[in-house]
Amino acid sequence: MMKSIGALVLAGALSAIASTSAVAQNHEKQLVVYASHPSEMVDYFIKDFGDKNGVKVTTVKAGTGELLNRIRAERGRPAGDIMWGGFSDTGSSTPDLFDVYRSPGLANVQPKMIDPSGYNTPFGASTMVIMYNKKLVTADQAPKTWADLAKPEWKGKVVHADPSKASSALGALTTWLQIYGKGEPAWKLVEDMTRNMNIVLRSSLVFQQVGRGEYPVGVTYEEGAFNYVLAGTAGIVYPADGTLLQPEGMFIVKGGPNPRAARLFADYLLTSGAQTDLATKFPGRRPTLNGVTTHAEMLAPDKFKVIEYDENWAAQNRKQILDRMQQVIIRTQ
Amino acid sequence: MTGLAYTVTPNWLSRHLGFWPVVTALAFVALVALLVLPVINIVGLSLSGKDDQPGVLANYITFFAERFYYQTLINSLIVSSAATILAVLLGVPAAYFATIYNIWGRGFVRAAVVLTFVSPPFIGSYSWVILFGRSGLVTATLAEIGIPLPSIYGAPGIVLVFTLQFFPFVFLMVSSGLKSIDQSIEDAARNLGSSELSVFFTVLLPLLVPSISAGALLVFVAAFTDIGTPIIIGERFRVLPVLIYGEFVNEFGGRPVLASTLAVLLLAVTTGALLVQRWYAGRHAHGTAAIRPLMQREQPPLKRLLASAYVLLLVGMALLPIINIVISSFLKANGPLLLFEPTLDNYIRLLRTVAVPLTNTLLYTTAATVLCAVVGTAVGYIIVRRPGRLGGLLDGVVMFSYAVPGIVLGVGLIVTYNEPPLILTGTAAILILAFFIRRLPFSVRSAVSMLQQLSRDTEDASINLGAGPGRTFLRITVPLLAMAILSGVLLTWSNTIRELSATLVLQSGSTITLSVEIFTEVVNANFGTASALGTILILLTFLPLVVLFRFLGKQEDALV
Repeated sequence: MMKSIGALVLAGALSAIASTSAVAQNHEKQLVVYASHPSEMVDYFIKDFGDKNGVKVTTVKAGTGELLNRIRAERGRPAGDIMWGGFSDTGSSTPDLFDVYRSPGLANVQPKMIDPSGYNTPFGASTMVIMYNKKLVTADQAPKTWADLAKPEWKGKVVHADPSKASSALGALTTWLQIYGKGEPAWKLVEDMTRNMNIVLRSSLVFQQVGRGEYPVGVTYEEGAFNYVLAGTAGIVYPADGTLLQPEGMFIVKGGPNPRAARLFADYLLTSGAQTDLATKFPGRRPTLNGVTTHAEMLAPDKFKVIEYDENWAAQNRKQILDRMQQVIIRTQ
Repeated sequence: MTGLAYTVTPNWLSRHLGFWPVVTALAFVALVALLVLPVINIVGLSLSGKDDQPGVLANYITFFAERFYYQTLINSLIVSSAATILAVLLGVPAAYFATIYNIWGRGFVRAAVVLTFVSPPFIGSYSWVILFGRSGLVTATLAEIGIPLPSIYGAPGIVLVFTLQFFPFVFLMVSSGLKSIDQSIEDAARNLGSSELSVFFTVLLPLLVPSISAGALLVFVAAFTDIGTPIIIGERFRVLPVLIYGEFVNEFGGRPVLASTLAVLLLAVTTGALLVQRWYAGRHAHGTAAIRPLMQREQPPLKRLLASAYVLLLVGMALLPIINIVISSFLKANGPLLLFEPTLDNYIRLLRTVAVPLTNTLLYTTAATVLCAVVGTAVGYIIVRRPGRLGGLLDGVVMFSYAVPGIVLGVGLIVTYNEPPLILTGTAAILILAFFIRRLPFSVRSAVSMLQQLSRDTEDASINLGAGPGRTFLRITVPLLAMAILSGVLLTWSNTIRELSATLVLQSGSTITLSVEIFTEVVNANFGTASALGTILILLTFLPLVVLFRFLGKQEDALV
């Protein structure tokens, strides 16, 4: 095991050298990263990247929405190079803000994780789960499927983020719609589920409130819930009706001040060194590189039901879905 | 060249144009550049949105037709009004007792009252959930001995938190107002046979109306625009600022026209509250100069005990989030959860990263506070002493800054100063200027409140004796106002140091501040680290107080 990891790291280091050499010719010595991911993870990779490449990295940490609005406001004179956060299609849906970049490292990435439009650098994957507080709900009582959340017994006991404010929540919504046929019956189910829910503005409030025991059950991304699983207060249900497993976002800002350093950073995140660190040091995230295994205590991806997520449908119908969901929230909240 | 430079010095201008017109003009330039232009630009930007957006009027119709929307306005009005009334009912007696009675722990009360409203942003709101949530520390402890607590969630919880968080505004304003009442007034009433109660209601209260209403306005506006508390404990009880904030954090561009509609409604209410307060305070303005301020009186033991208990209990309740933050900062973390094991880990972890945000915070806060004190006093003087159309307009524009939510101002400043001729985005200057403009109303308010009670006899005497208006202001008015200016500086410092909403969008990484660090750590569920940062922020807020107490010796009472 150690040996194979060692070999992987070595291979990663070699491929890192190979891929960096393509863009390394006098890359800028500075980089500005806008990040909405947890600060410990962001700090770690930025320091590691900076040390290895002699780049002084500055970070701005905020929510994805705030950062996107900021990039939009700075469009005339971009100050950031990287948007590290958001959903896999954030880049392709706002092509006026981001540039296409296909890192050489993509060659080793699981094909399902690759953004066909070329905007995203898929450094990690995330899945949506049901999280429950162990003090308030036993594993037996916990909902088994998404559809269970519509049952009367969960009225007022489920916390979920607003899909128009949090990309993870939109991912869950589009998953539910796809599982149940995208039509009226699916929307009926979503409305019944939403009636039981308290909708909050920040996705991080979901796992924090369930982890602290303020709510019995929440809909959240795996990484948020998994930290409370490790801390012993929460459990995860991988819904039996299926969930999505989608890459997380990392995009290069159009016209940013340090484009070559930005591409170097994208290449770095796809090295097996960085990917192994992601799996071992930041439990809850799933690496995307072939051959890098997930954290030992996380359920392997073939052990739970992953749906064939129709990204094009979700991206093309996003506005209608969000508008209709807004109507559902207006009616039920 | 030198001749030209000479001709535009303030001396030349003041000789030819007059001191105050020049100051007025400069104040207008600053306000237009930092407040009016950014707001116009952000509204313009929002209106230039997509083609398929309905017009502005259509959004108003949607707002008032959909219960989901208009209910937030009603909710906001309910919780803000309730919190304002409670803050006045609780804060005025507390200020009276703390000023007039020889209550125990006066020094502590005065210091604690200031601390209560400098509770670090976001984590302060979250503390209420940690203590009084469904699985909160206090809730769980009391439940074990059979005392069920009502839920902190929803409207009653928001009103409770707002009241405890913002009553210090009333306390500070009223304390400062009491200081300007001359002992002879109370003595006269008492000598004529009035009881203490009747002196309070018939003599002191009318004199305190400008102070009380100024404090009440601060409470109302702070409650009406607050986001942190309702986001965390509001649940289905939604308020207007949360809707606006939602549009700004919207990951999909949001609905700019709706957002601007909501912002306009927010502005309308806060501006309306301001006008009501000005009209009311103006009708009750009194010119008194305290030659001999109200004296502290010895009280019989029982009265002293009850008054002390009341004040200490109130202040103690309001201090709870801060106590929670300080204790949490010394607790060991197990992933996102805190254990009851003491440790210094949280601080040790900070050593590596805290230098930059700490330096930035100190630097920007100090710079903005100095700007506020200078400009705020001058503007306050213009409003009170040189009333007229320009003074009124100036007042209106300054107070407009209350009504502009920080995040709107932040985005507005980016849009305005991201392109030539003046590029300020990413600099420290844009943060300092944002802090300055956001907190200017506080300095102006406290100067106005004091000036309204300061008789202008001394100033008139100075002018009559031949001193110019500039000299009179600097030599006569400023020294007379020293206490009000200091109290304004205090308010400015403690509020600026925790500014979050505008800083979030204006900081550029290298200009990060402590409040942004706290926000990031809370969002990432690192409560230990966030609490350690919060504790540092609390200390920083307290430090200038200690210095001022020592520096001012016996006059420390006058501060609060």
